Amino acid sequence: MLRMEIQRVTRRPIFWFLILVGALLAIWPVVQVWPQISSSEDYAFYPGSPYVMWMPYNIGDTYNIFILILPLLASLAYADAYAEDFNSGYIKNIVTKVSKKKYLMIRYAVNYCLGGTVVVFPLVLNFLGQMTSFPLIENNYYFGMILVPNGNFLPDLNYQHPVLYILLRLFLFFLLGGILASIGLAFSTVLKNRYIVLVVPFLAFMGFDLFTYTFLGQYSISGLFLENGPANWGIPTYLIVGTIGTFLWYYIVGDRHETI
Amino acid sequence: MVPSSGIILLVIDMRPSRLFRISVGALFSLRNVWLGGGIYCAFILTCLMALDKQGPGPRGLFDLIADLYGLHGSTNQLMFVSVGIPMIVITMTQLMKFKDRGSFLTKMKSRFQIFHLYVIAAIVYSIVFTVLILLFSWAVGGLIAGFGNTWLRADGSVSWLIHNPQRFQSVLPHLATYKVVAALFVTKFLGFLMIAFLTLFLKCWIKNDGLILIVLVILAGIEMFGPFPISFFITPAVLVLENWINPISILFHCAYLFIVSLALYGITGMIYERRDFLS
Repeated sequence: MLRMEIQRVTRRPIFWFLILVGALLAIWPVVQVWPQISSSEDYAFYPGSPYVMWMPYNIGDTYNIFILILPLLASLAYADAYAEDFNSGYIKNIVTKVSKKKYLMIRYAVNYCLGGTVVVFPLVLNFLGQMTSFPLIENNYYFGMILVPNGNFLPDLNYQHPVLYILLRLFLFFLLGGILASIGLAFSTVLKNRYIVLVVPFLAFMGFDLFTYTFLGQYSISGLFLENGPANWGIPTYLIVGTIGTFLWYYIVGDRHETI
Repeated sequence: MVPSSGIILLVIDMRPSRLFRISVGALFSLRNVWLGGGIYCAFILTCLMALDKQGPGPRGLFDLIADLYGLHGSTNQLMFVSVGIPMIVITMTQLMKFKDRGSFLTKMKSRFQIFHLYVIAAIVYSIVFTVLILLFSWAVGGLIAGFGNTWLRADGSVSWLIHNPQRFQSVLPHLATYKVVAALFVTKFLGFLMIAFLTLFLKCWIKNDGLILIVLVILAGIEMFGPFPISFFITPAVLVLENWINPISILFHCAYLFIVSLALYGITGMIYERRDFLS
């Protein structure tokens, strides 16, 4: 069934459209700082490197647009698959060959990974693009490259093992994308309109982010995950609640649905 | 009557008043959208006003509704991105999904009537949505910051930002409560109308409603954060301090929104005249 899911995803035009949008958002900042455009001062006073110029650090136009559409990138890829199967009756064909529990598990895993991948793709591409423009100079706190001050997310790791740090940040983006995609999938067990299902993660993220930003300040979800802001217990809390909560909701309600 | 698409249409008498009734009836029949959307909008607008209350300088009722910087507040850019665009896209696409069915289409006299059903719905929805947002903002904003018009006061935010008593006196006549409310109503209404017409236009080409939303949000994002210093989408519907100092600019904004809406109406109408409802 996993192979079937992958084939189905790669044949979706919307998936490739999202990849294209992500690629454009990732490449545009690279083109803007291409070495021919940069001056020698960029290297002399504040060495340009992929660690410094990476989208989430060097926040520019495209990163703000990326943040704005991030929930839609995550959900549009595959979050409506369950509603689509249910509405079309295709789910009946599947559950005659595999158990429903297995179907639900694989669907959740594929959707989670796909949501995360579509979100992470522009960031990886941007980092690779920056590597073509700048030498990979290691971060130095005393050279003025204060990207991650004390109190932010693991500053020591950023200066001692920057590659690991980037990978960890990418992993957090991946998990956030997976959770947003899973919110859509979980809602598809109660809402059968697949287009509403696609929009729900966007609305949920907007509402929750605005609420946390207004009333909880340092626990703002965009501040914790999308910006280079302070780190606290909000990160693991949101990840655990988001992942387990959406999985339980989807799995329990989905399993109770009468399929045949 | 056998049109080019091959659909056999039952010609029935469809006076404009009846078309209006059908359109409005269809719009308000989307109860789940109204209910869910209403709760979501109330939550977001309250958060936006509470966020604006934490902003710099004196904060009065109209600051919470139409912050002078143009980003926060319940009728500014963040409102359009988080409330205006999603709600209009959801409502219009759900209405079209419901009414584009064959059983309904066969009762309409022509494609012209089908299109105008949506146009009437877009206009009515824009008016109702604007009124509801302004009323809710007035009620909640009043509870948070008081119901007086602090922009008229010397310790209000307009005076605080202008930093010039003489200039503030010359701006005062433009800040009368009824003028502010009228300007807000007209700009928001035209902004929502343009988004609704743009949704109708995009729906002719894009089947996936989520894709329509992402296109509109990207457009808003390009305008808000992009490298081009051009106001072409939601910014003309947002009023900042310069607009209140120079009210003629509000007229230009309204004229722009009206012309764009009119152009979208014409183009989408032409597309509808050739639309094949069978595919």
